[in-house]
Amino acid sequence: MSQQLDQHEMAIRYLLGDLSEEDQTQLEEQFFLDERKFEELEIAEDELIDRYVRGELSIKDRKSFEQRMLSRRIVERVDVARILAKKIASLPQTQAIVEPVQPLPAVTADASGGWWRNLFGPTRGMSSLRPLFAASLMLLIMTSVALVFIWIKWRDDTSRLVQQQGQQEELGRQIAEQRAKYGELEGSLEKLRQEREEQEKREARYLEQIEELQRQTQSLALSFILFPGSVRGPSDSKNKVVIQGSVSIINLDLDVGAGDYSRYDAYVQDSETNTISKHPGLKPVPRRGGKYIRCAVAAKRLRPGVYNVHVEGVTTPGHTQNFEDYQFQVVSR
Amino acid sequence: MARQRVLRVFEWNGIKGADDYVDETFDRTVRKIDEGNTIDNLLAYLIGVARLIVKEVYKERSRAPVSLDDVSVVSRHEDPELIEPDQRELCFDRCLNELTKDNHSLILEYYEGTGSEKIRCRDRLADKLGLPLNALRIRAHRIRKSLESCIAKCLEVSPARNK
Repeated sequence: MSQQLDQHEMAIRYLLGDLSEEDQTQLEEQFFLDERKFEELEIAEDELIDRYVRGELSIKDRKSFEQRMLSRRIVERVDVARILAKKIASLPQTQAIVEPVQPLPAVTADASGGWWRNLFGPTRGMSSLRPLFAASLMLLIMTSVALVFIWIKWRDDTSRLVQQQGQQEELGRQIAEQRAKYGELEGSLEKLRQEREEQEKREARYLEQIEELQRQTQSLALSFILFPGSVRGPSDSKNKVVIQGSVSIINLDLDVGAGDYSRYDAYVQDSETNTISKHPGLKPVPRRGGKYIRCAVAAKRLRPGVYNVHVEGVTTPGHTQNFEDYQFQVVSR
Repeated sequence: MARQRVLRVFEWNGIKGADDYVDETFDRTVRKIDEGNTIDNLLAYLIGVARLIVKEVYKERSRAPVSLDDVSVVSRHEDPELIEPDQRELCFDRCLNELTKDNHSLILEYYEGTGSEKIRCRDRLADKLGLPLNALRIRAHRIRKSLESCIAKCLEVSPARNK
């Protein structure tokens, strides 16, 4: 709208010769070649003539108008404008609005009659409060419409909030359930962890016991080296086995360096040649520059006295040859 | 339409005897075409030639300001065919009454008041008709144009002419 007013004023300035050379050229290029803009110039001419006739032009503009608008056409238009102004001035103001003007079909908006016109129509000669009442009524209607919109929005927001609240409660319930399950699982896990710890402790104890037993076993085993030959007497310390009270196993390491059998069978005999322990398939082990076979005998079987270990060399499976006899004396403390 | 536009160039630049200059404009344009030149936009070319002629006239002439009231008096002497005001008023009333009821009311309401009162009247009229102000302005212009055309025809056939 303001652009149109600017164009209208620019057109009036053009008609009065008030534009610069450049603006005038630009206006003529635009307005003379475009149908609608050319009509704007004609409308500006109407307005200018009207202002001239009514004495609404400044002295300068009046002078410009009189200098420029000299054509017979414009002179005639000025005469018609004077008659029109005279006609309007002669009419009573209320009669100037001769008939209620009905909106024409080409009109874009619908100007309805009757109560609308009475409410919003011209107030000249009527109560000055009517426009105020109309404005108040319009304000009331607009406020009501706004309130309705606000109420609808509030209702929608409320229902959405209620729905969200329900969803939140459901989620809270599910969370609580999950937490309870988690708590149960955590309890079970803790229980399993404790059981595993206890098992590990038991295993450790077992291992300790086994180690203890092994230590005990190792500490209760004594080894003696026996050479082939006769038993030494009490004065002879050779082949004398001294067994202490805490010893449980006697390892008899027999020197078999003189033989070249791959296996040996050994028999521990008492003084009456009763076999008190058998040790078949002994493999000689190199040690200290010689070869030895070991016979482990429970100490409780070796009471103080003289014993003999009869050794046979294994030639083939099931066949043996006499090899050596080892005699020793057991002395306990 | 082109002639009317060219005529306006001279009228609105204050050139008296605009009809002769319009002819000059068309003559120059035709000569240009005869010389073998191609003119893409004839109207634009005509307007351009008209503006050139306006500049030429400005250089040649100087005009003293003359009140249109005096011109009317002077013209009455110079142009014996000028219509008497009473005859013009009769034709005005006749043509005004020939307008439709709506146009009749509109044209009288549109030109009611002066200054800011005139603007308020036009705003109220635009609201009453449900029209933007610019649309109202165009409609009033066209009604006035048809009124003036009717008045001109009425004066042509009027028996009471001042000779």
